[in-house]
Amino acid sequence: MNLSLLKLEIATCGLAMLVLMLEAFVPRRDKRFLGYLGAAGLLAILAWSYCPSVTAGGFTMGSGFNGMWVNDAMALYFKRLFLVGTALVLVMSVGFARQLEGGAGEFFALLMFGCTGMMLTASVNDFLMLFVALETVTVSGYILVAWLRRQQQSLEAGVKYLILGALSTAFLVFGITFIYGSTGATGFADVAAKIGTAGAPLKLGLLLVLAGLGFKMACVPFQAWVPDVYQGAPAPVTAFLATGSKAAGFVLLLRVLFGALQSVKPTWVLVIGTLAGLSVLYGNLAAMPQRNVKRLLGYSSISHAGFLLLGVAAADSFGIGAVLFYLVAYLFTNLCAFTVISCLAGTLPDDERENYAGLAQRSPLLAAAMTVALASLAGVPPMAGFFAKFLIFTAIVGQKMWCLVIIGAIGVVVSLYYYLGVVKAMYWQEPRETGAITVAWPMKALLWVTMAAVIGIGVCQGAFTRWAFDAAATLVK
Amino acid sequence: MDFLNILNCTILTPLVFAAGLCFVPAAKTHAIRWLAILGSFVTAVLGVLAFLWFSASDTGFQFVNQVPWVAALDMSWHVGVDGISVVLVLLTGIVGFAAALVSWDIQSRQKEFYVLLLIMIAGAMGMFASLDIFFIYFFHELALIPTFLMIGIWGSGKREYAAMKMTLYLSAGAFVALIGLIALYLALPADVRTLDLVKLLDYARSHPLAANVQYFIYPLLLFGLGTLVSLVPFHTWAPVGYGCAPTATAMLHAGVLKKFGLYALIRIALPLLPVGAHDWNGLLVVLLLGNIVYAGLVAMTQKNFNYLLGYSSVAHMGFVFLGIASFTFIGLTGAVLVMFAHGILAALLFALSGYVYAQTGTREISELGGLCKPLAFVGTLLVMAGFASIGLPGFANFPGEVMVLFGAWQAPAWQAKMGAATVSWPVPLAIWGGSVIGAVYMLRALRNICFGPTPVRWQMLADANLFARVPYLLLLGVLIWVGVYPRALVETIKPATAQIITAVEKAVPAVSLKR
Repeated sequence: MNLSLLKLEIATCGLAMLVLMLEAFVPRRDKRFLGYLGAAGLLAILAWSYCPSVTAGGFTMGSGFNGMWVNDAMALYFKRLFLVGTALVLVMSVGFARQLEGGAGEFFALLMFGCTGMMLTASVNDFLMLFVALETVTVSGYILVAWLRRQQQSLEAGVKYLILGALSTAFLVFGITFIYGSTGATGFADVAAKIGTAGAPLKLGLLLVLAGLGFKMACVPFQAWVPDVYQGAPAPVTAFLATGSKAAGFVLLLRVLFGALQSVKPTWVLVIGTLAGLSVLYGNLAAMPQRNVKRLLGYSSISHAGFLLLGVAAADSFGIGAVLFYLVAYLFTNLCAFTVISCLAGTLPDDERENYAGLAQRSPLLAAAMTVALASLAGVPPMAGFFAKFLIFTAIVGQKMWCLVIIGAIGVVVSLYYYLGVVKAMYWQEPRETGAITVAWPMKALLWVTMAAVIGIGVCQGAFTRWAFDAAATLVK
Repeated sequence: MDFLNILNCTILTPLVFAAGLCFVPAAKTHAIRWLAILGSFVTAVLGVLAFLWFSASDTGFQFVNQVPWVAALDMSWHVGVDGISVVLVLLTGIVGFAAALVSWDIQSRQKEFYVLLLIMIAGAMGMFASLDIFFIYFFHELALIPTFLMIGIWGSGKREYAAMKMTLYLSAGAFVALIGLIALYLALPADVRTLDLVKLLDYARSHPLAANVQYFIYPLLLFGLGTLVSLVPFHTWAPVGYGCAPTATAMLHAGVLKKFGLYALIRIALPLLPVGAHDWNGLLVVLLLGNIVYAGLVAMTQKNFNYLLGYSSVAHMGFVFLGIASFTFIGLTGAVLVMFAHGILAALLFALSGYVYAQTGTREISELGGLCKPLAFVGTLLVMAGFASIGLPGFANFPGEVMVLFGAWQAPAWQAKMGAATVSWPVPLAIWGGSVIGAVYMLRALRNICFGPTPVRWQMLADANLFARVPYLLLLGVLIWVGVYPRALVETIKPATAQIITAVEKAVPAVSLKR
């Protein structure tokens, strides 16, 4: 047992426990410092992950635990993504803390436990490990979604997330038993070796596992929970689900597809392509009539799962590289959008679009940040989302998947309509109330950081593309 | 400091000024306005300098600067101009400066307006100065989004509808073109794939793309880019968009941004996909006649002056398409000249119409009348601009359109040489359509707006003061300068268009004679 393979995860988990312990001793008004402590700690772990001992083929790289665990460039890529995302969500949660009743420290700790789970998913190389990692993420998610226990919406979201999450977990376990039953193995490599000889039960098992992952990724037809949960959960939790949890689903999908199912690629390309097309169409078309901004972002999240799956369906190293780039662009974009929503959560009665009317006059910064985020989601230069879509479309045009190209193009144009609808409300509808909205400085800093990241990644794409493509190259040989 | 060459400076100057404006308090409207004017002036000066320093006798791209950007796609920040693009950079500079000057009628949220205006200018500069397919597209989109906000916030009439319609139309068109560009990029073998236009052109010269690939990609570019240029039947966004846009936005969009689609067709589609262009030419000819004749007829029925100008600009685009479709050297050169001339003219017409609107509060032609009396200066200029639009000799449009028609006249002989079917009927139709219809709607509108009895409520209107006259005189001066001395531009444009036509003439017969 080489525990040093897990040192990033152990550090993150330890940090979470430290915060949980300090929660008992820190006076109520200083609780927010726990959030900053967590964020700083996560960033320190991020910096540590760049140390040569971690990266340069040192003893922490490679696989271990009888092949259950693999640390490669892609694992590291995702772990860093999760660390950055969670650190920023923690800062956002501190700004949101006034809304959080009771132990803010526990809230921060749960986010970090979720982050630990997500980091585990990045290295999964075994179906049992997959289950453990995924449940670590999901169980913390159950509590976080229902955190505002005095608000009916949050409770409703929590119950929905719990029931559908449990259902998808059941699918997952069921699928894994079928896989184990027909191959006698749970390791991806062992399953891959037997996939040629095994019959229908194995295929059924794999399909069930894909259903379980589809729930995490929020793609059609496993999307039913998304709008309600996005709308009801506290804004930082929604951000956490939309960025980290979705990315965790995708890294698992990539691990399964390229680890265990490499030899039946033509089959799953068809399945993934179909899901991708359906998600793009459903997410975008269903988002058009939405008037609640959080709900709208929920539907938009379904459509983005579709765009990401388009890249997976291309199934070459370019397509996977595009997916990895997309996830980073999407992370900062969504964090930007949800930071705005968190800032407004205390001021506006709810997240209806009408309440955003005239936001540009009440707070130019919030309106500008929201516009940057929405433009990036819509895929408009110079935002990061544009280059991400550019890569995805290059990948599928390269595979000559014309049907998906057309569906994607329809999706892009339709999405512009509803994203611009929000921009329209913010910039040229008359505000219902006029008072200026003040933004506390940590949130202001977060807005500037995420905006700079969205535009920076969109203009200076070189380094990010290189990282993404290098990571993808380790997966797709 | 190689990076700070003149082209990079023309792109970055407006962006730097836009960023600077963000830090000026919104209440200091005078400072904001003057800073924006200064920014657009510096940009215009740089554009003029680029034109003057450009050496017309050298072929190839000048003021080149290249910085690697994304290695995986062989994408680079690559700027450089040849005879075609330097003329358009000059156009952008002049129109951008004029647009900043005429924006005194913006009375609310000036800071945001000028920031968006400068971003638009930067985007327009970038798309003409870039030599990388990605950045050409990137800068166009960068310029497009401010249009949406500007129409929505400062527009008039059905501004929400107009902003939405225009943005959705143009984004859809741009996206189709993007798919075409991606397909073009991927059509090359994996080891030579590049987004660098210069490398692409070099490669295509020695290894032309397969005819069926060209046949497939060209329509994506033609219809995608055609939508951006209001090619019939994808033109309906133009009148409503320009009808509701604030003056400066209409000037910049109709004058400069709209030229992007044509520019990309000439720069990318013609030399890289000559066979595809040739195969789809029959359809293009039909559609461009729609622009010249049909849009002209629709313009006759318009009651709103800006709608009329919108349709008239749709009609003028037909001439540029005719120049492209003629596949002749003189026709293509004329097309570029018309692009420049129409850019200046559209800006001038929208600027004058904007002045009239600011004074009277209406754009309905029937409500105006006799404006030459109270507005002697503006009225006179409006009449002159109207004559330029009709194609009167002495203004820049005339030499351009004549060259296009010469080209169209030569086209049948040329096509016979290429072994293709002869298409000669567009020429008389286009001459008829262009000159008669254009004269009818424009003269009628001028008569109703400028002449006749002046209604009492318009008798006290104030004519443009000395300062307000600057942009109008600037634009009119350029129109007349190019009108009487077209060589100034033609000599610059010629080597670049000759190169494109040579490439086409080399590629097309090789395929069509084989068939």
